[in-house]
Amino acid sequence: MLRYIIKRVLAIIPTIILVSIFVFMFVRMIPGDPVALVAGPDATIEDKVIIREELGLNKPVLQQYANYIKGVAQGNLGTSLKTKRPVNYEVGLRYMNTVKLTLASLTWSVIAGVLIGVFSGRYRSKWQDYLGMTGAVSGISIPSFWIGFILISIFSVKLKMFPTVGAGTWKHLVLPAFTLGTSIAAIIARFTRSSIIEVLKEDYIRTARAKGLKENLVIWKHVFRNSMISVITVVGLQFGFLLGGSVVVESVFAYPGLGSLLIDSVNYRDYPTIQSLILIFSLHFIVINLIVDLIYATLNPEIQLN
Amino acid sequence: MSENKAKNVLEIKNMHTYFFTDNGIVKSVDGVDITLKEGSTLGIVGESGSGKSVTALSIMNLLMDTKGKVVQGEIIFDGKDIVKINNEEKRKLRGSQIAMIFQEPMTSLNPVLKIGDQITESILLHTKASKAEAKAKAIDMLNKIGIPRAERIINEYPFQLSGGMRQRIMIAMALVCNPKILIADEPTTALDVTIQAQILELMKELKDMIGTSIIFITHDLGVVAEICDEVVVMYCGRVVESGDVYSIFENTKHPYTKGLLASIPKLGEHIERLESIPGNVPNPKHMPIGCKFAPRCKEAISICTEKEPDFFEYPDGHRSRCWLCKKEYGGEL
Amino acid sequence: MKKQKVKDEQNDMRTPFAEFVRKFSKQKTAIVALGFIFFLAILAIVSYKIAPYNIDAFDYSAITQLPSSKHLFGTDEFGRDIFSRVICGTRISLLVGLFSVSIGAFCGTILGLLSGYYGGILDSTIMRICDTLFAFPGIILAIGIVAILGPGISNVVIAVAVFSTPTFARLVRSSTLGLKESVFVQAARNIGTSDIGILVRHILPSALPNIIVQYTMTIGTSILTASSLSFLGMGAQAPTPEWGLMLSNGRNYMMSFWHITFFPGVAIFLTVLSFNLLGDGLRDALDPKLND
Repeated sequence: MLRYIIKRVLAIIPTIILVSIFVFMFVRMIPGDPVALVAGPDATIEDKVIIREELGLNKPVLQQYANYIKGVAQGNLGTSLKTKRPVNYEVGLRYMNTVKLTLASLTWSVIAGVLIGVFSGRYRSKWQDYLGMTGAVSGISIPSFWIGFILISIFSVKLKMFPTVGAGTWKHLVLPAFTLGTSIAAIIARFTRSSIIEVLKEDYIRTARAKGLKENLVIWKHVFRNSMISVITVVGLQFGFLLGGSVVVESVFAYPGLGSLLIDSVNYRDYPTIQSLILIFSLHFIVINLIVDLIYATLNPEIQLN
Repeated sequence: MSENKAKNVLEIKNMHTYFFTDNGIVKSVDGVDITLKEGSTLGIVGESGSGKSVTALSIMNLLMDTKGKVVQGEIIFDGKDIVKINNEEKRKLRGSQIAMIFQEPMTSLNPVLKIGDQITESILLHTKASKAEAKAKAIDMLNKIGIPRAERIINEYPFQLSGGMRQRIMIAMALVCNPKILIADEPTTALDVTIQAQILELMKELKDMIGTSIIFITHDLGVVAEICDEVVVMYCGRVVESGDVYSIFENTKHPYTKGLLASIPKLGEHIERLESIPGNVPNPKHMPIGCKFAPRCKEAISICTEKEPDFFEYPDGHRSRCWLCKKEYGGEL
Repeated sequence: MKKQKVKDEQNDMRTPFAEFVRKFSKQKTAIVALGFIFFLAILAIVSYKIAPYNIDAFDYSAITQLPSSKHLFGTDEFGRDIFSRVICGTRISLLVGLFSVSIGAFCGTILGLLSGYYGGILDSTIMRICDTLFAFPGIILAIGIVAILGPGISNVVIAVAVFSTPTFARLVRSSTLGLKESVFVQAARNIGTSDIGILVRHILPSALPNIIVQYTMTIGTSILTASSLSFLGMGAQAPTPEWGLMLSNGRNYMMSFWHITFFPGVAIFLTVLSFNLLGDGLRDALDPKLND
């Protein structure tokens, strides 16, 4: 088991390195002079020379990369072009907000998705299945910003149950988390359903029924545990959609998280911030997937005992 | 009238099990009568597609996830027709009164649950035993089966065991609640010959020990000779011959059964080619008129392709569904 | 697999294509979806001609009007007819979806074939790059690319193509790996067929069903992503009648004028839904494991 953990951890290192290279190259891929971007339109030539020096652009590329990595490792993500404050300060302000939103969305969508998926898979081709899957296919087809607006119209404006914008209390989380989780729940439901259907065809389920077990026990003890193992891997991938979807949802609800920071930065061309956010998002995604892999290993007895 | 005073523990009467597929109705079992005497081992023999497994699944009501249904007939067990009872009552019979083991031991156990859990599950469900009692009973059963280190096996997972071991576990699981009937659907087909012999020995011992009646489904006549008391031969969803094992082997009446016996190579016999039954099992959608075996039968006569034969019963209870039997016995055709 | 002792369906000899058509014709919802897509395609072609109003026609005397007989979907904040704008938006959305996924599928398929067939360093390199691309959540990668290239619909197409490529590459690679050692490929090699010949004439056709299903599902994703990017201001720019952009413009009027955001949203939903339903139907019809 330990060997498996070490193997997985080592496997992501090349990916992390490549990601950091991509992100590093990112700013240099922008057409135009990065110095001009940082300096602004009113800078003099002397200013630009100083800035070039500061940005380290006069050094060889490899060293620039090394400096960049060193900086990141120490927590220095550069300075925001827009606010002139350190990027990690801007990130720090909003990090927990995004974490709360992501966790809230993930929690409800996994629970709902799994329940609907089991329900649909168990009653395959009957009305329960059609209902569940119609919901699911709609869930992956609805644009999140549209659902967000509809929810705001109904629950915020007409019914005044939840606040429209901002963060701070649990009430601020409800509508954004529901919006963000919709397509995730739908995908999980679809995947769970096919996993349940696959497992139901297995010989050991026939054995379980031959023992005279009640159908509920067959489904929840025998089928579910086997299906869940593969569903876990899908949940890890969904985290990426969560992070991406949060960008749109935070915009809809003016929720002060990392997603809305990204939008603002792109609109303002605040490249240090954009760069850092992309790095943060992808690192989180990689690490979450690693954790999911490890959870998968603990649930699968074959991997655990070998 | 039969001299045999033994009770019948199971009686299947004129059972028809059909599958309603998108491509039409498949008549897997088309009018089958089978009796299982208490304490005996009945072999059901046939090729794949003969309907022998579907018969077993029909008894157990395990057709729920398929498009199959018992459309006609009765299955009398314990004085009741178990076709007509509701699903919940059928479920209660499974595992406790009638148990079944299957062909593929490698895939018939749940990979993520411990062995002990899978055995005690049955006990806890069908009896009032406590968890500790169930565990003790499971260990006791494993010991009876001849599995070493039962205490350790309880906590292991199926993937840690060999095929032969897994099949023993399956048998243990099936018998742990002392069912009246054990249905074994080709339990040794997927195993090595040596393991096969061990499993058959085991089943014989257990039968004597526990007193279960066994229905043994197989295509292997050698196994039938080894372990069965009575035999039923099926072809195309019907019984074509039935009787006690000696009668079937030494006094074979039906051409199909004769063909099956002739195609077994015998030790010490020098032959150029193995005899085989010519032709193929007919397509269920294009069943021949008359006797279903006639197209492949060496001894077919004209009436065989016109009318389906009824059973002809010999005085000792041996039955054969063949016009030749009637002819031989001097009846009118 | 559970062994059903059903008599074998000795089907009459049918070509795989005929079998596929038979199975597909049973998927009622997929057929309706396909019909709707045809309708959309026709709409995309004729919309500008049949639209009752010019999509750019401002009419300050008729701003934010609710749906009426004069304006089926009402008017927006500039008095433009929403119905006309919505139906004309079909063209952009379909073109974006089609182009971006086609590029992604094309590049991904080539990479997947090469990667799976030749193996070695080529394979490792391509797979490492794909892993890296996968490490970026889709829309974030798209935003990054748009941040570099600048806003605009063509850059959105490029961005979506880039993040769909790895999916196709992985898919085709695994099919190729599976088929590489099969008997018919070996036979082709023995008679001297060139590598390209083998890839194109033997391996690609077997991988095609999976590619087609993935293609259809990805069109849905790409239309959603494109409209999301437009919504965020990074995609289509005013005054293009793009659905996501229309939603973004209408957000300030949401409180009293629901129609401005409602209809473009419905358009996105129905379009993506029909592609997803079609994809589901194709997948079910092509799945060899689904027996009757």
